[in-house]
Amino acid sequence: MSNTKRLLDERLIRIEKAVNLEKPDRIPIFALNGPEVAVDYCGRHLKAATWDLEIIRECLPIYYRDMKVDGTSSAFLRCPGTYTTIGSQNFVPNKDGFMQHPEVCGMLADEYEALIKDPFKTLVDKVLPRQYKAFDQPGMLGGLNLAKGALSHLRHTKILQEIDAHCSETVGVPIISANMIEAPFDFLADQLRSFKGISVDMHRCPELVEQACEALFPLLLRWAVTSYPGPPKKIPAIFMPLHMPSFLNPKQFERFYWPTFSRLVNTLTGMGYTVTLFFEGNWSKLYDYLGSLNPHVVGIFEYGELKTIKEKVGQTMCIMGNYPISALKSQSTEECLDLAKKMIDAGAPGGGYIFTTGKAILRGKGLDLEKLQAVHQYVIDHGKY
Amino acid sequence: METIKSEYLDYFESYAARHPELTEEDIAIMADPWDVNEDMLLGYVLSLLI
Repeated sequence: MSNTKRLLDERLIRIEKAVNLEKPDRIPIFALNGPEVAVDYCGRHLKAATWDLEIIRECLPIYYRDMKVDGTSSAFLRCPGTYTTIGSQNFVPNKDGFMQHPEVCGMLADEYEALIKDPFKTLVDKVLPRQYKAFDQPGMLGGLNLAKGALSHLRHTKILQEIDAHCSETVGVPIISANMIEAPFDFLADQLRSFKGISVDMHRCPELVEQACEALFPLLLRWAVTSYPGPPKKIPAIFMPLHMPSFLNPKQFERFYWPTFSRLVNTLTGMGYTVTLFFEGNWSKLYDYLGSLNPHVVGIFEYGELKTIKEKVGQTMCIMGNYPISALKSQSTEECLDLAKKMIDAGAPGGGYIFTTGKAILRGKGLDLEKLQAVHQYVIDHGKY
Repeated sequence: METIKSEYLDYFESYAARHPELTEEDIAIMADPWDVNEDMLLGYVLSLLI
């Protein structure tokens, strides 16, 4: 067996034990980042890399090797080649090639009933042409552009999957979180109604918001299952970033978000998948809900007290995240290591803990990645069980 | 798993409903609850909206 294969197996076992709420040989380290930071780290130009994915293939394994991580998510990159071809309004590249998501509204308030009646048809007829202007062309041209986008999407997806395999084969880093889906309420809010629109709808037409989440639920469930590579497994997990709850009060969360979100998570875990939830923002007012989710959930927490999180949900959920990346900008290496020690003290007892940052590291500019290396080395040296 | 009911998704179930001439034997032969093309189309559309 090659050293790389041995490393890959060791890391998978380490992570699987943590996900199963057991104690591995030491605390695993998860890379919560996009490919963009690897491009910055290797001194390459991001705009060139987003058009030529061979640059990503070169940079990503180097970054993972140097950061000494035990696992990562499948490479996720919005390729401008796809988005500009189809006239995207919702994802646009900035000057150096990083894709930005402006506040956009793809569905009007009076289209709720159509969405509830036939959600897929409404997404295709109403939402796509607003968000992607190339689809809104007369005659066959709109259909041709839809096909162009699909071909580009499939091509990029295939290359990114090959890059994942390349990282595993060359530097022994397993992909522990694969396909990404959204909770129904987030799907409705993000690009259908927009932040502003959904905030108004919860007051003006609350029943329609509830029914829309119910209508979207089967689409998101089916997508989660059919885009997963092969039959259900514990690893890789299905990744679900959670956007809106930290902007909702508990009553709104309970009424609009929780019913379809918890059903989606519990259905998927009941089928044998692990679900990785990225709790964006501060969820401290909502911890009591999370304790009632099925086991086989991994939680990445952006904010909150790790000790409290561990006490509230650590019995059923593997905990990740919480390390503030702002420290890598503004604090000394010693202070960064002190913070890592505090995280280990709070998260590690009893197992079920994976070290990672509270936010995804998107870019290398402005961050001292040597400090991140030092922090990871500290976890390797001091995180043994 | 249930198929998605939509005028725009043509899983076999909805195809069969529109073709009463199909016999039970035909349906048994043709039924495929995992229509890969339809699921790829669903995935493509949803991926453009997250």
